[in-house]
Amino acid sequence: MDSWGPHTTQELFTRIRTSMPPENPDGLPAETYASIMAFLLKANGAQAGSSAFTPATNVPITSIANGQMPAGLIAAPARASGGGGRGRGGVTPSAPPSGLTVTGTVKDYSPVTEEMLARPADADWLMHYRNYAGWSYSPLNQITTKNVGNLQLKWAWPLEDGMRQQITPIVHDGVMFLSTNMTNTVQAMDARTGDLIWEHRLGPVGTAGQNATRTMALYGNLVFYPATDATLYALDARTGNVVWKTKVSEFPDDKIGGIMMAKDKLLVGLTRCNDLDARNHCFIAGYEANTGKLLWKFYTVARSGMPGGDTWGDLPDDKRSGADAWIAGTYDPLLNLAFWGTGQPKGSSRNDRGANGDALYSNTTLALDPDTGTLKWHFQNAPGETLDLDEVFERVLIDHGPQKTVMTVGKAGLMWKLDRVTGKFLDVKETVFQNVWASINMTTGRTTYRDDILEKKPGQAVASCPSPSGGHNWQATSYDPFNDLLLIPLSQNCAMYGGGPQLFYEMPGTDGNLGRLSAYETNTMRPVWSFQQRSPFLTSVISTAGGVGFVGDFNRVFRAFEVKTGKTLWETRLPTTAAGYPVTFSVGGEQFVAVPTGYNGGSPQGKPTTMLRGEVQRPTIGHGVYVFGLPKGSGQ
Amino acid sequence: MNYRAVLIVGLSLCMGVAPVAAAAEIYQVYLSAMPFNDATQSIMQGKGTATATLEGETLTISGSFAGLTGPATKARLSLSRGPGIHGTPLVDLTLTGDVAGKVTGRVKLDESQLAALRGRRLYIQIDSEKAPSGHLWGWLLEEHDIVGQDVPQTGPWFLPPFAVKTK
Repeated sequence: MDSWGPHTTQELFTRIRTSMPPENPDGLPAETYASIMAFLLKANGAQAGSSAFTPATNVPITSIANGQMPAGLIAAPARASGGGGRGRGGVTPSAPPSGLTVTGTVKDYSPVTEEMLARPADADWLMHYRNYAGWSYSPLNQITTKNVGNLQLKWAWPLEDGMRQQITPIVHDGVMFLSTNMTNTVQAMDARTGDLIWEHRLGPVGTAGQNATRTMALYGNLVFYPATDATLYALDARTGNVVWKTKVSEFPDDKIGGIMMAKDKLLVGLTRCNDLDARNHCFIAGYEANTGKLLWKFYTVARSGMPGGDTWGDLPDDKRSGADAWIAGTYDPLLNLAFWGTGQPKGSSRNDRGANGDALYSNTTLALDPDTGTLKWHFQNAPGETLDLDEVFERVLIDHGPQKTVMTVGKAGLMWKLDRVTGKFLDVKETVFQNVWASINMTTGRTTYRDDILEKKPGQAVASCPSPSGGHNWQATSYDPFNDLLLIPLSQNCAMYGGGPQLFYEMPGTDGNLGRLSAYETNTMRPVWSFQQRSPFLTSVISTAGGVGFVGDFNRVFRAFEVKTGKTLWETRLPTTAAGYPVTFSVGGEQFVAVPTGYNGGSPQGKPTTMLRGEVQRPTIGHGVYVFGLPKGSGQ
Repeated sequence: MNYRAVLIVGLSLCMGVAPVAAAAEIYQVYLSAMPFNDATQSIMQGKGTATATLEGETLTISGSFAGLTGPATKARLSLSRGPGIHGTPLVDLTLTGDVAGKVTGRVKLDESQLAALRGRRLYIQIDSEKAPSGHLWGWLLEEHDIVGQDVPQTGPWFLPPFAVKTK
């Protein structure tokens, strides 16, 4: 009641509908959401009225509820452990293990230096996108187009099932660092053999966990892990011991979105900061990596009286939300600039938030000084976004001779090219069919919605191609510098959005192919090749100097392809959906490729789960990491 | 001008025959389920294809569908703002069959309708007993190459243009 009392029933209904269930927001029948709302109101002292609660009911919550739970709804206190509880067979499940549950020491670990971060060793996958520039490209070339067909499973490691699993295995000095957000557990593995070296179960266990912990980071002897309760941990990479920890946000729903190193600074993005509180806004923060000392925060919502504050119109600060920093940024050490994207404003539609302005700094490319958090420039990719089409994804840094560019692809599928020194718009290209932007100004990059989207009334659905699952989503692109190709995993589905539960349909012109992998030459923005299939791709793409790329999909296929042509060279089936960030690395002169799997995960999985029901079968378990390599003596 | 039109004109010139006044324009249609969610997914099954040929001002439509969960009841050509966006009925088409069948029609288009056709704003909608407000739909898109699943297509490939690029 403290948070929601001042709001209306319709605002709370919309919030629940657009955010729950975590794996499929807006995916339940309207009556179900209405029933949940009715229960919440009853549990807060509201008396049943003469007419049923409906989505259209719109009264102040304090006018009907007093925050006092009726006696009949108050639960009995939970029984103490070991007291013959209510579990199966009368046995209370014991608390899961916690703490440093497997002890061990990484031998001969080299502290990660700023120099290493700027120029990672060929053998390592040292950070989320492998290099500062966000290329997801490895110079390793032992696995080639000629021998990739011989790949075989070298080892596998299960990760706890349950929540979203979209991790990036980080590899340094032959050690792979893994995490699972189900229990907030971090593990160090021997990357060659798959032996566990140490394991730290940080907890909490089984929290809402609606966000995925996609990123970890390394610096010095530290491995950084963003737990699902917004606690940022620095562990000793050699032993797993906690060196420092800090709470990034005190608001209970807030989550850490993405983390990255920039020199000796640890940059952290905050997401799900939706408490509709004047103090709760998303931000990007800089921490001193060695100590965890907070150095600065850059709030991604422009508040009243601040630069850009007028772009939210008269909306009070406690109604300004969104612009989540849920994807890690990239960094240019020469310019000393970190590049981050932000998500859409919230409420996700203009009707929901009651403002028509551009809503800075939502759906924006930000260039920040990592030492101070000072905003050097910004470019808003989607002003006044209203269809839950984020422009938050990886900012890829690519040079064409003297021209330094930053490129990104958002949910609408527009591939943007900006001057990364100034933020000046250079070019944009559609990579999937889109029908939300009626016009694009090719001088300024300013986009304009279709009239009917701008004129949309509350509760009215509008057609959106792509759907909120995005033409592109968190599955990161890869940049192959030798062929100047940006490899982009794309999804092709549409939705009726904004009028209750979303309705999905196939994208016009795709013949039902929900997945597309496309390659564009970045200098010219020229399309080079494209590959379509029924199932969407749900891992990021990586490319290598061996001319081989890797990507995994909804239908459990992990595939190697020729980067130049898109031709499939090898594929295998995994226990469940390939999800997360594949990596490649080398230990003892042997190149490996690792891919995570994960069943759950947001709209990129939710929409194909509905659209391919009965057609694609996926086990609900099978989270893990699968590591492939060439046979001994075969092409190594 | 599409490839087929180029071919017809080219052959006519090679054979010393006077070129036709206006080459036929070919449009292709993928018929797929109209918007659905978990609750209606099991009903919204089926798919189909159609071809539309414009000769002069006359559009001739011929297509087929299969896999509906209930008998088809109505087919029409509709007008919308663009691909993937609901519109309004323009003219009824002829429907034969049941859960599988054919859709045909011959429609004379006026100037604005011709512009709508070339602007990818016309679509075919098929209703059924199970989905009386619309079961399958598909936009009339200019003829383009389709490669099979799992085959890379070298660019540029077809993406229906929508946004107007301004200076």
